[in-house]
Amino acid sequence: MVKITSSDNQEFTIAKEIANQSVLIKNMLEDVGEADDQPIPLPNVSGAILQKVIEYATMHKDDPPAAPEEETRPKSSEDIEERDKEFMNVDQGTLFEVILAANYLDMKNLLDLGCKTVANMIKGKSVEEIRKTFNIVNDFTPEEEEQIRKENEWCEDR
Amino acid sequence: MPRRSKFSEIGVAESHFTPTCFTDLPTELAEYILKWLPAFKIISLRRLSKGFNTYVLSNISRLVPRKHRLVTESSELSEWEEVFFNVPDYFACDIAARVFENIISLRWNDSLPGRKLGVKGCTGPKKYRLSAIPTSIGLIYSLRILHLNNCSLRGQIPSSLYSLLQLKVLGLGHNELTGDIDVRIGDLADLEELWLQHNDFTGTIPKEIGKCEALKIFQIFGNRFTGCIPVEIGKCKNLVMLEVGLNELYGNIPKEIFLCSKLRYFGAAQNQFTGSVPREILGCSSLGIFEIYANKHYLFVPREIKRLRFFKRNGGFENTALWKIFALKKSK
Repeated sequence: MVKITSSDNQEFTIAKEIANQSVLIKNMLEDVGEADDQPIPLPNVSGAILQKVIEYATMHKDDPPAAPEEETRPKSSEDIEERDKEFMNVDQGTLFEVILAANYLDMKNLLDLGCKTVANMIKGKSVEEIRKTFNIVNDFTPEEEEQIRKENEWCEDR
Repeated sequence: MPRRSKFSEIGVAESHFTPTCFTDLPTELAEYILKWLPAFKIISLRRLSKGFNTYVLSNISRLVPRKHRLVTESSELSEWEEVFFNVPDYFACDIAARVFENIISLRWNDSLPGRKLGVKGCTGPKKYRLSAIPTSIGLIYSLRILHLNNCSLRGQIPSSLYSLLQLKVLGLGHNELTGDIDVRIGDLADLEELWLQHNDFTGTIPKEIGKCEALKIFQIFGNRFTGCIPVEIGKCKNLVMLEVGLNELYGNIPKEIFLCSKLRYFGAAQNQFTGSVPREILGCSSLGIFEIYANKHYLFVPREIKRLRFFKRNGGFENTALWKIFALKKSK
């Protein structure tokens, strides 16, 4: 078992095969050796998010090791398992924090999942809807916006 | 602390630790998200705000993924073809540079109905007309052949074009281009063909043209070039065609031209050249076409010119529009 602590000092004890899904933790464990049972501090991840990440790692602990990446196969953001979709059904704040945590902990699958989820929130939405979804302030003058709208006609509404 | 995204300048979140928008994520992560989107969707994000507009425009070539497959397998490229053929000029080149690795030849052709754009034999309807040479053309480093003849282009040659160091053929004929030929033309060491005929170019012929030692064709007929023909052009030993007719050039015709042993076509009609045609022309056995009619002053021509091949082939003076007999008479 491996002990980890979050930025707000919550301690989690998890199985090694779960901890090893994080390349960061895996490397740390290899560095300190088996005997050390000091908890590993993760100062960039809060307890709530760590809980979420552990949930994901537990869910995927039996996944076969990732096949070597096929460059030619087109990747699609639609390519998400149903249970992962369910897992990512969270508020935006949590979603972004999970992405940050996955990046920090070096968990590629979770990072991909988070980024795909955000990409899907952008896909199929109009500019106005995207602004609303992400609270983006439209700071164009009407003339400027009209100019860009014209230039962009070819790539919108599809 | 991770580096904060450029997007965050657009300003949404107050908190430094809890991102409330993907724009608050570090740049790498924000980009990683965008990379899951199709190119047209990324470009459409320009409209979100000023920050996004600037960001997309300056990073388009990085955000749009490089496609490894080539045009032959069109099924692989369905989305790309669509994007490529419907994009406006200013993106076409950026995207082309990313989509097709080692793009060698690019031609817009106005002569076909609906205007087709061909890349390595790939053609399709192009909705948008090219109105000028896109500045982004300079991104396609691998370009060797660029044909933009007859495209109703206006404006000047963008300086970025002179960064296409592999260029062999530059075809800009029959447009409405203005401005001059930059001295950086000399950087194009591999340039073999320069077609600028029937435009509205001005300025002088830069002497740097002599650095284009591979140059075979120099065609600037029908512009408003002024000044003299630089003697440095004689350094282009491979010159086959030199056509400077219908310009505002003056001075002597430099003898160095006729030391180019492969020269077959020399056109200098309808200018303001003076003096004599240099005797070196007599040694130019490859010469097949020689035009010097309608210059401001009659040009003196060496009498022995009758010996030359082109002169015989054209049956003397009688039936050639390329030659004005008065030029010869004057030389007596």
